[in-house]
Amino acid sequence: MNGVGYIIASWTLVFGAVTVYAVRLVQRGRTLTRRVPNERRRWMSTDGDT
Amino acid sequence: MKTLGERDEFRNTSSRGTRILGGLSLVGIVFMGLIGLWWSPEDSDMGDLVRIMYVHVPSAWLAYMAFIITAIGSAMFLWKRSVWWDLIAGASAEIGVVFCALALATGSLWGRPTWGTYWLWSDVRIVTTLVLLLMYAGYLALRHVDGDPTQRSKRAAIVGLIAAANIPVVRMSVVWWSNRTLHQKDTVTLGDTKLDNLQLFTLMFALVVFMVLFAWMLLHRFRIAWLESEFEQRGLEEALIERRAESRVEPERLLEREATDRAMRAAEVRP
Repeated sequence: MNGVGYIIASWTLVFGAVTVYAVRLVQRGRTLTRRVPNERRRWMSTDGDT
Repeated sequence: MKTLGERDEFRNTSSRGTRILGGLSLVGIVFMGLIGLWWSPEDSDMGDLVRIMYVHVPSAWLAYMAFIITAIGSAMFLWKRSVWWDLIAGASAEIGVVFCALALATGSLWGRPTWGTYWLWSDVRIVTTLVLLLMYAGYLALRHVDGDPTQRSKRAAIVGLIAAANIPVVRMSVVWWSNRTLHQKDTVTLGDTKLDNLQLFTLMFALVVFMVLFAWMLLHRFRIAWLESEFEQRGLEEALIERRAESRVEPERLLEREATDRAMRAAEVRP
């Protein structure tokens, strides 16, 4: 396989960055949901779950 | 009894929809790794380096898509004045900036072994993409400026629309200035492709996986933006209530102070 270092670096960079960003999103969501009352978190209702 | 959403450990921005999208993304990424890194054949010109294309091209396409959504959200906000559209525009721009930066970085890593350089300032595709990234980074910075939320959203929407004008410039740069770029013209066009069947399938599959991932990210990011705006609104409401309470207390304090002064003056007069 030619240029294996560049291929691995590219894939690692993309999925590494995506993972870090995704984890940050989930963490920020957790922190904020604790600070906002239930009635203002519309998607948390069990009947209209999308 | 508390519902699932009310329990502390489940208090987050996920829902059934995002859990499905997240699961599909994970499975898709694993399958994409298998076909992209092992099963798909090497290219006759580039050899195995073609495998960088499976992450580079979807990153760039996704950035364009995210910025187009930002432009639509911005236009809809200016028309309808709905916070919903403003939040969608902001959420999409942030994801777009992430993928645009990744497209530039992977392009750079692809350029070194193929063209012999990581970066070329004279390449119009690279420079216009960098300008696009900087414009949307500026758009995000503008969204964090302190001040009236409505005015801030209005200004951001105008910038979001202006920045979108650069998307067709980036896309068409390789055609309009073909002698000033090392990039080839479109690899995949309707009814014509320079790729092998499995290579084309891998690229299309990667694009679908990235789109599912984008949908997952957009839902989460939108909900975070919604919570932030609710929190900001709540903060403003609380500050207003506090201010009103203070203004009610103020006249009572003045009366009290006046009575004390009068009593002190009377005490001084007395022999």
